[in-house]
Amino acid sequence: MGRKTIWSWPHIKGLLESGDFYCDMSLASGPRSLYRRITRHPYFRALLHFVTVSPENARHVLSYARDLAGSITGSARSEKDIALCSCVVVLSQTAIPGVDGLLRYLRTTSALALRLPSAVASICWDTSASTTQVRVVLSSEPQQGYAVLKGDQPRLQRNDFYSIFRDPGTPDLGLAAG
Amino acid sequence: MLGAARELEREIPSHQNPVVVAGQTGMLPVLAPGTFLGQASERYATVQGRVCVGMSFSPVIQTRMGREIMIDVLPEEPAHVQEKYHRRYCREFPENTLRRGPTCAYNCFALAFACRRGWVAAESVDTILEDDGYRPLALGEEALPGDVVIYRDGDTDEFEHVGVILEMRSLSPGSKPFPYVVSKWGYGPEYLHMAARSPYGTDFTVYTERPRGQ
Repeated sequence: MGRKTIWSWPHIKGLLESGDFYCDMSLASGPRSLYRRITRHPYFRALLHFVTVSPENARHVLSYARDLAGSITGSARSEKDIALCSCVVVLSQTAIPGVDGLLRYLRTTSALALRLPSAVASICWDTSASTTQVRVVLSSEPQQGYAVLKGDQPRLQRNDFYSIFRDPGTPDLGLAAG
Repeated sequence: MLGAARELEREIPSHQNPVVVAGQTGMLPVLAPGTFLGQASERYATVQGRVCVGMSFSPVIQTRMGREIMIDVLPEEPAHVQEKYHRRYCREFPENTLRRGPTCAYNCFALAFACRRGWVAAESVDTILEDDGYRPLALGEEALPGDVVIYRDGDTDEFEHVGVILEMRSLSPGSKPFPYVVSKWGYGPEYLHMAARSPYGTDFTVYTERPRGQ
């Protein structure tokens, strides 16, 4: 069966940095509320799906998150810190090397512009420490490069997000039907 | 605020010696280099090579019973981002009245419980309600201006949002009045709106700190 990467990284990145996503998240009354809103947002689920499709995708996200963590400076916020928060949440649910380092850095940083990602990283740290059930196992066997959630069914199944966020031009694999 | 800051001033150890610059919220006084912000959070950042104590002036706020409330201060947003809020919320809730534009200086809980001073953590709201004598309205009891409407997350039951009732307003003559509130929407603007006309849904509870029977 010809499974393919459904979304391109630029498309996912565009969603995460979009003004719509930022405004949706802006309703949060604090870091914990932000965490909840992120995990329920369709864009986040698109990101989660993207990450679980292949370890390479997860590494893309980790690299992007690291770049953001290093580049967000100053004393003002922007769309990028919400994008970083989302990446942190999704990465905290994966088992790829380097995530713990990112989380540790964010939790301990005193950079003002990283105040929210730092708080979200702390929540993720606590959450992932207590709920191993949702950790993503990334392996090349036997899922042929696809990631699965531990104790869960493989993620590439029929879902609502496929039809919503499929890249224009990507052939419909029939996953959204039904 | 400036007076309070001066009261808290004391010499900072020479090895720290930060150059204090004002933050962007307008909350921070500009202090002379070498001053210490007392109870302020010691969260420093480096901006253009200078050590900045920007927006770390977290006031200490206590409940009536003397328990400390968790207050945080978040960085402000640039103006181009702030415009997005107003455009969007004006489109989604055109009947609401904008009271003030977006700011990260405080959140909805701070508006209701802490005079708009910083971000009150949702985790502190239980403490505030308990210590300050808030209670849900009893059956048949009418809400009054000054009471608050509290929205909880449907799944986790955690506090999500709060608004302060300005008046009880009927949508049509003779109909049941509903709370008309002022509330701040996350990092966004402050709006005057019917309690059910916000992105936080229609499931809310009215709390009051009035003693029963008054």
